[in-house]
Amino acid sequence: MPREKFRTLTEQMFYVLLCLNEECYGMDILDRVPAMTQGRVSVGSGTLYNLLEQFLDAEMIRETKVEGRRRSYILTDKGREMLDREYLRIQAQMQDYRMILGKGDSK
Amino acid sequence: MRDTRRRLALFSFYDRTGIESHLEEQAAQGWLLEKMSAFGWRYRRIEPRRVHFAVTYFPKASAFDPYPGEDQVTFQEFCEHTGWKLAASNAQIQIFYNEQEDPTLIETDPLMEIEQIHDSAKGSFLASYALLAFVGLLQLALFSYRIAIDPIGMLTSNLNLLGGLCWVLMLVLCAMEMGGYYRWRRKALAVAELSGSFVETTSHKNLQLVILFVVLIAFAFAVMSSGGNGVGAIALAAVVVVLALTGLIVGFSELLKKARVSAGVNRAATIAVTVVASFGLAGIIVIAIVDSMGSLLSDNEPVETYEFRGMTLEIHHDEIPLTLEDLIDTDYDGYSYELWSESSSLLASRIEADQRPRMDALEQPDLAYSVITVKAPFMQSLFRDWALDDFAHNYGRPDPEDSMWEKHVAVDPAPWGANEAYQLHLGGEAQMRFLLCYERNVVEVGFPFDWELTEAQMATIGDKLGGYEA
Repeated sequence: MPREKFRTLTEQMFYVLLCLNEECYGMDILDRVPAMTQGRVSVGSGTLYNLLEQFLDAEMIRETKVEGRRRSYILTDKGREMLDREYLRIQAQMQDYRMILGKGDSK
Repeated sequence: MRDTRRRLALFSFYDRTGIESHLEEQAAQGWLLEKMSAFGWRYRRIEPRRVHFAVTYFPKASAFDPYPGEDQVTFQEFCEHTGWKLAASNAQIQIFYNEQEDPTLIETDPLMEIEQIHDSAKGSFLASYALLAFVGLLQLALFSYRIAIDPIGMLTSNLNLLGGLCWVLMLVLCAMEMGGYYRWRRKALAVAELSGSFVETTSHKNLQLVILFVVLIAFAFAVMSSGGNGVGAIALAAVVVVLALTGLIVGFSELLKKARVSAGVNRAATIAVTVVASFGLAGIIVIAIVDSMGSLLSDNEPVETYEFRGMTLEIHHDEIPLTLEDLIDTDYDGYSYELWSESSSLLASRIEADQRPRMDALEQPDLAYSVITVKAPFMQSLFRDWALDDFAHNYGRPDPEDSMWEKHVAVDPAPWGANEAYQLHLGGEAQMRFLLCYERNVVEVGFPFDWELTEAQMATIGDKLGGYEA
């Protein structure tokens, strides 16, 4: 069954939204995400373009400035809420992980 | 050495991995894609090197856009930011290249990429193939209908068989392309959900090449075996004109794009030109066929013409297998001997001939016959049955008591040297029309109504037409 859109966020979605916690030009996200994750996560330029469109449609972000084709965005309350929800989900996963594998791990 | 070259591209619309591999191979051989169009892909010479390619799909783009829209340019700028330069684009497909060693891919979310491909395919590739399949089904239905009402006429012509073959092959291609796409899409979605990876795509290049080869060979064979009359030439001319028309229509659309006409206006104008030109072309072909009917019907020119009651009539001296002189003594020298129809296919061939006096000498006897030679033994009984259906037919006459009711009555085939023989009865009265079935031939022959055929004449007819290769 396909995942319901944005019910859970992919890693790329998560970091794009994280970047937009502060106002940011769309294109700059391409550099910020690898910098933020020490190169562990990259977002493809095409994927970023489509994500920004989808986040705009879902009202998770909004445009703050338009200078020709350069647009900047920022999280909306709804976007922040989804980011928080994803953070809690990841936290819950971490706790489950520690519960099963953390105790009795002698290494 | 040339600096550019052009090649046909037989990739499926969604075959992004195949296209990327191909372009990377080309770059390694020193050719970089620079333009994509309906007339093929153009490459320019470069130093052979390793180049990465990425095929992307932009659903908002259209083949009729005069220039890339704002959104498309923004997309291209995003790609350029990570080192991807635009090589070429055509409608929804954009192809980028990157000379960095290990560039970040343009599409890093397979699920999103699959949806982009689908959104692009819906308005172009899928819609086109669906329309083609619909037209193919209609044409096949028409072909089947024509076979049902005139099986002998349809199956004794290689051009008719070629038409049926082409529509069948087109349906096969549509099924492979559309079926292949949906099969790939289903698998790709499942794998992307499970493992986050992108399933490789495929094309049906070999199938397309095979179909193209089969159609070309079949067409060449059909034209060459059309009997030397005008039919083959008209078919060849029609194909050339259709190709030229296609080129003109594509060129017209490109011209409107260069003139910066909006996509909506371009689309409407191109559709209008296509419809008008197609009907115009059909009209020209029909006129050409009607105009050349005389040369289509007869291999040879008439040896003379004469006037009768304001009409100009022709006298032919064609080679025909059976003449009245083979059957009776006659002093009349004004006969026209005409082989007025000749057609052939892999399955069977047919001739229709007659010998007629001038219109001012209708008291002289006449003769008319047709010979079908069945080449495929398994179809012998089918052609016999169809010939019997044509021989005695009662369209629009439901009542056997009707005075015009036609019936075929079996007669002794021995005098004809035939396997089976039938005589036509009209309203219960025997007519001088016979259908004779031989090992490979089905012969229909008609004589003046007041004739009484002798066994010697029947034997002569059997000798001349029973084994004749139509």
